[in-house]
Parts: sequence; C-alpha cells; structure tokens
Amino acid sequence: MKSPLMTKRRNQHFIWLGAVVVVAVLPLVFGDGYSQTVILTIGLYAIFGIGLQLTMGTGGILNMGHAAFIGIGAYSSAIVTTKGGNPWVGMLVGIVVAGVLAFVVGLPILRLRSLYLAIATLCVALAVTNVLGFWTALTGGQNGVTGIVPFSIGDFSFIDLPSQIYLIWGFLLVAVLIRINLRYSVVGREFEAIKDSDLATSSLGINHGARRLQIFVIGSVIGAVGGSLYATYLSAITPDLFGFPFLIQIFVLVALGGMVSLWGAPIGAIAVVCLHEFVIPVISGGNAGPVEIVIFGVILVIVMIFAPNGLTDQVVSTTRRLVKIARRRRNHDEPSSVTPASKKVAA
Amino acid sequence: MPETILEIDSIVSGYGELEILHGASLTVGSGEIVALIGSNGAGKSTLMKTVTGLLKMRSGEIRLRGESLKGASPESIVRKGINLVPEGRHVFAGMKVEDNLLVGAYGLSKSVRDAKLAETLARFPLLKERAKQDAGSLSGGQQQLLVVARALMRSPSVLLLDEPSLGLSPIMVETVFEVIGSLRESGVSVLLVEQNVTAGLELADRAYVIENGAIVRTGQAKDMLADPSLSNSFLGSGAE
Amino acid sequence: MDLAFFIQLFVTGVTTGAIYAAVAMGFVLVFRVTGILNFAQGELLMVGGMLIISFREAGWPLYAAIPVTIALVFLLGCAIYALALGPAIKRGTNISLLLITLGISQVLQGLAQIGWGSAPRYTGDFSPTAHPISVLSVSITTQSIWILGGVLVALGATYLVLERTGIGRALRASSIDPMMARLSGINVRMVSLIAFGAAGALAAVGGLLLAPVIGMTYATGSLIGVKGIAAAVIGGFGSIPGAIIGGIALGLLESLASLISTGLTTGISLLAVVIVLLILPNGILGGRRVKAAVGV
Repeated sequence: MKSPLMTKRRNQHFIWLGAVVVVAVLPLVFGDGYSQTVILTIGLYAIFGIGLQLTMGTGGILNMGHAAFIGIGAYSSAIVTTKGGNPWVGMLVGIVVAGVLAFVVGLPILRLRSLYLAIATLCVALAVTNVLGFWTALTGGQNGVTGIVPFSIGDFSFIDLPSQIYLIWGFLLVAVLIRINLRYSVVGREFEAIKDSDLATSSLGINHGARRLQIFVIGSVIGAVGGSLYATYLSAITPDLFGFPFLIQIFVLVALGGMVSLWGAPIGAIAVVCLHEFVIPVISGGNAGPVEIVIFGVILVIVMIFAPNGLTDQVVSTTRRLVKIARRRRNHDEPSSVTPASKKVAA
Repeated sequence: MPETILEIDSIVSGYGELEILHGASLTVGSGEIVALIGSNGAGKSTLMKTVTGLLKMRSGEIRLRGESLKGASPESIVRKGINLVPEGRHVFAGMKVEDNLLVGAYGLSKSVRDAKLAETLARFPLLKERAKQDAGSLSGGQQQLLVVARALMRSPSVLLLDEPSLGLSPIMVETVFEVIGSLRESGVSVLLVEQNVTAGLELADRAYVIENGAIVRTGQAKDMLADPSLSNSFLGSGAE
Repeated sequence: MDLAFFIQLFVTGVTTGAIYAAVAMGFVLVFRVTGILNFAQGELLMVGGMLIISFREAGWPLYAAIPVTIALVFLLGCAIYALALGPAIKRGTNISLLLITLGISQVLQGLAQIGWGSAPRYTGDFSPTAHPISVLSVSITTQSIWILGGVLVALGATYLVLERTGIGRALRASSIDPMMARLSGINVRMVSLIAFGAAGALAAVGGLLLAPVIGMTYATGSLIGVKGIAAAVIGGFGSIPGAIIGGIALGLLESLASLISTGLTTGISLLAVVIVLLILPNGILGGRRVKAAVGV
C-alpha cells in the first residue's frame, strides 16, 4: 500500500537526486573560478536558508539568532582546527555547542509568546556576537581567526573549488533530506496545523513546545554545519561576518524562497547570491555596503507586505488556486468553496 | 406605524466560509423598540454585527433613513447614528468611568462632549458616583449600564442591544430594562436581542422571530406574548 | 570608592536610562495599539540625532531645530505605518510584520549611511559651559540636565495627551479593546498611525538629546533600539510606567556593570532581558499591575 503522501515524498527524493546530478556536472561545465565560487556560495546559503526555514516556516519561530548559530559553527571549526584539531572534530564541536545552546535557550524560551521569542533570540544573537568580538583569547576578538584547515578524508583534502562544491552540496543534500522527512512526517503535519498560532498549542492537544524545541535545535544545528563549511571555505573569519546584515540576507533568502516550500532555500539562495554578486554591484557603482543594505531591506519589506509567507509559497499557492479554479470551470458541477479566507482559518 | 428609520433588506452574511444569514429582512421605526427573537445560532448576533459593519454583507442592503450603508466601516456607521452594545460587558477596563463615556463621544467637539458627559452622568447617578473609578472595578451590572450609557453619548438614532441582561442580577436587570424603556421617550429606536424573551417582548413594540438565518415571523409584541405556539418554542426557555 | 562616586554612577545611569525610557515608551505605545514590535524604533532615534546635527550645522537655533526634528521624525513614524505596516497588517503574520520592521530598520540605516556617511558625527552641547556643574563633588554636564529635563517633558507630554485628550483616550481604548473602540466611532487605523508617529517623536527626543553626548553614526540606532526593547521587557512590555522604570533600571545596571568592564554593558542588559523573560515574563511590575496600568 502506498499513500499519496509517500509517493509524493518519493517523488521529491527523485527530483532532488536529479538536482544533485545537475550540480555534480556544473563545476565541470563552468570551469572558471568565479562561476565555481558562485555555485559554492549558493550551496552554502541554501544550507543557511534551510536551517532558518525550519525554525521560521515549520516552527513558526522568528529566529533572530540564526546568524549567531552559523557563527558558532564557523568559530568552532576555526578554533579547533587552528589549535591542531581535525576539521571534522571542529564541525562536531560546532554541532554540539549550537545544539546544546539552542536546547538550553529554547527550553524555557519556547514557552514564551512569539514576540518574546523574537526578543529572546535577538538577545542570544547579540550575546554570541559580543562573545565572539570580545573574548579575544579564544576568538581572536575583532581580528578573527585565520588559517582554518579544510576538511579532508584520508589523504584527500577538500581544498580546490570543485571538491569544496561537492562537499557543500553534499551536506546540502543531507539537510534537504532531513527537511523532506520532517515535512512529510507526523511532526511536519502537526506543524502544518498549528503554525503561527500561539493559542492552538494546547487546544489541539499537541505538545507544541516540545515540537518547536526540536525544530529549533535541528534548524540551529543545520546552521552550525553550514557555518563550519563556510569557515573552512573562507579559511579566515571575523565576528562581523555573522552580524545583522548577514542575518538580513538569510531573512531575504527565506522571504524570496518561501517559508515552507521545499525548493525555497535553493531558490532563495540563488536569488540572494545573484543579487549580491551581479545586481547590486551594478546598481551601487562601488558603494555596495549601504546600497546593498537598502536593497535587501526594501525587498524584505515589499515581499512581506504582499506575500507574508514568502514569495515562492505565494506563487505556488496562487498557481494552485488558479489551476483549481480552471479545473472547476471545466467541470462546473463543483461549487466554489476554496478561498484564501478559508485557508487562513484552516491554518 | 412610525416612519421607518432602519431598513434591513434581505442581507446575506456570515463568518469566513460559513454563511449564517440567508437573506434576513426587518425594519425599525423611529422611536420604536423592536425585539429580535431566536434560538442560539439563529443569527441574531450575526445580524447585529452585520448592521454595524463588523461583518461584511455579501448581498442585500442596509439603509439608515434611506441612505445605504453598504461597504461602510464600523466607525463611520457609528458616526452615522447606529450604535451597538455587543454581548458581554465591553468596558474599557483600566480607564476611568468618565473616560469610558468620553470615548463614546470621540470625534465630537469638546463643548458637545462635555455637555453630553454632564447630561449622561445626571441621567445615571450610579455612574456619577463612580466617575473617577476604574471601569474594570465596577460590578457586572454597573459595567453594562456604563456600556449602554457610553453608546448613548453620541445620541444615536438606532441602538442595537445584544443580550443586555445576560448574567446580571435581577435588580440590575430591572435597572437596565428601565433604561431601555426610557429610550422610547428620548426618541432613540432600539433593536433588542434578549434571551429573556418574555421580558424582551413586554418591553418591545414589535418583534421578529429569526430561525436559521431568516426571519420567519413578525408581529406586534403583545400578540406574540399571547401566542401559545411561540411560548412553547421560546418563552419557555426564557425563564432559564 | 566613596559616596560621591556612587552618586556620580547613579547620575550617569539615570541619564542613560532616561534615553532608554523614551525609546521603550515608543515601543510600548506602538505595541499596545497595534501589537507590532517595531524594530525600526532605534533607527528613528538615530534619524532624530542625525537631523539635529545637520540643522545645527546649517546654523539653525535650537528653538527651531528641536521642534522641526521632532516633527519630521513624527512624520517618518507615520509614513512607516502608512506605507508598510498598515497595508501589511491584515494579511500579515507575527513573523511577517516583524520582518517588515526589521527591513525598515535596514533601509533607514542604509540610507543614513549613504546620506550622512559612515564616520561618527558630532554636535556641541546645547548649553555649553567651560566645566561641568559640580554639586557636592558630583559633576553633572549641562547636557545631562538637558537629557533628564527633555525626557521628563516628553514623557509628561505623552502622559497628558493619553490622559486628557480625545485622541489619547482613543489610543488607550484601541489598545484595550479594538473592536469596541471601532464600535465607539474610533478609526483604529488612524489611531495606529498616530501611535507610530508618537513613537517616532519620542525616539527623536531621545536622539536629539543624545547627539551631543556621543558620536552619532548610522548604526547607533540598532544598539539603542535593543536597549529600548530590553527596557520595555524589563518593565513588562505593555505599561508605560513600566517602560520608564525599565529604562532607568537598565541605565543603572549598565552603569554598575561598567565598573567591571565597559565591554560588558551590552552583555549585562541582554542577560537582564533573558532573566526577566524567564522568571518574570510580565516584567518587574508583574502581570496584574501591567493590566491595571494599561495605557496610563
């Protein structure tokens, strides 16, 4: 017996496998370093985005601390490897630190109303950047850490761009699989029912707090893994990298990609990286910093006004509705019953 | 027959997907008290909310002195002269009694506001004694009185009252009904939803019976009071 | 460390706290009426500071520069509501509305950096004196007096408006029971617009008073915004006396923390917020007080 859901899930897996093949070929097609850098960055951002999508879209948590969790992953790798440790150990340390911090912070905080949750995660974010910036003995302070050692398996070191692309996109695939499984699992479906509502928590008899905590930890750990990969790719990091502008970029990523769409993170990542690499340099003409901040801010505002659940999700749901209406027109025996209003009630 | 002031013409309305009113019509004459009777879920509150613009009507017409209220916002409908006292005692807890009253006159000029406040406090001595008190500290009956008094601050032409006596002590019920009865003299028209059907009909001039979102019956209140078929379905439950 | 030293510390703390209180009050006002946490509140303070610096550079006297600055930031606050949050509020979720205010804060920061550069900008004290005033070996700068007096006037004016005017009553009524407010003839959108404007004006007062004390940059607002949120949370996020007490408490706390390390001050306020959130989610005034003090 196969439920439609399982079929859908399997389809998703196949589609993603296809995407992986495409990515595997890409570095061979685009041989030049710049193209490869762009492809690599898209993979990294997609990992960052999946972590935030999980906490925000699935968990309904406005997570202002995501950049900080990425920073924790990055700094764990940086500190461990520069002190002679294995990069994989560095990543593991990042996972553990981010996971434990997310758990400890989340444990009491996830009971709070969504507004307080946003404030609390903001505080965590600022506290982490404060520590990164001022605990000079460990983190190198504002100067950051240099000489971060790349990942390796046996004698093979992921040092040239194509191999790093494979590494990062490999991790992205894992993150995607985790997300697909969460989406189609019981947990994911529970979240579909209770998203964005504080009240529904108890009335549906679902232990909302525990589920949110779980999602918060998983999302933060995915962020930390991304951070670890980011640090080894850059080989030098500073605390500024994980500040507010970076967080906004990931918010824009999720806003464009959609809060729940499975394809959202890669789509958002492509959009953000392309904006950053190609569009904004043209518009700003040299003064990229503030212009970029303004452009990302404007995008965030406009998308959130017109598509509160993100652009991709909006496009998908609008298309579905149009298709449904078109079908109904053809059949016209069915009465029209699905409107945005009813969906809102159901959500 | 007094001149019609509020005319509700086959309105269709509801919440989200749920359609509750399927074309209800009624009229309220000038200075008239009209009772709206029906069981729970028949659409009484929905009708009230639609008239005040809190719910958008899907079709039909609502006219105040012949002027259509279609698409008007609740705040503009209030300013045109229809005031709703919703079910439950909606005082602004945390604000003084007199500030509550002044909110009722929001947007009027200061001199009108102050005159109206003095007039209202004189009319409701119970509130005058407590003018400087937090509205949240009043008893249930006093709060209900305050809400009615606040609605009168704007001198509405039509007052919609949704279950004004619900949950009040018998003595307060009497006070509230006295106030409603006295509205007739001041020329305010009233549309009254009241779970105590007998008391409601005794107070009213005319009545409508609403069932499943449509008006099924209308007549003089005293005729309805005397009608045994009606007393079986509603009046018996009025004593609860 | 003698008594005078502690008094000195106290004065510094209260002065800083006054600024936080003004920002916190803006947060609370907007939140009470609209349910929105406006992350751009700190940026409104920054714009206020930048404007007064520019006006003074242009040779304007204070009596012209101060009211114009406040009026402009009031309008900016209104514009934020009218252009972004107002249109979004109907379909918006908690997350989308917060992200909108976050986006606005970024836009204001970026524009400020483009318009006013990245370097800190300075302006002189409002009443320059050769030396700070010394009372019982505690020295107070004239600007501190300006700050304390200015914030006091701003908060007092807000209190009077809320208590004594029709629009103030409408603001309070809308924050208590928006449906009943509409049924009383109040246009809640208009009231929300005014709440945003008033929050902007309060932030502007904070910014223009602070401008002579620090080097104002495009980024100044984001940190002070966080402090304002912290103060509001400490005060229970909902009550105006709470916002004032929270602001002063935070200022004093930071002033004490600076004894240990100046790098620590931000950390301390963050810690205070987290502790308050965990232990006293209704703030130091407690839940019942907050309810009773709605809008006061």
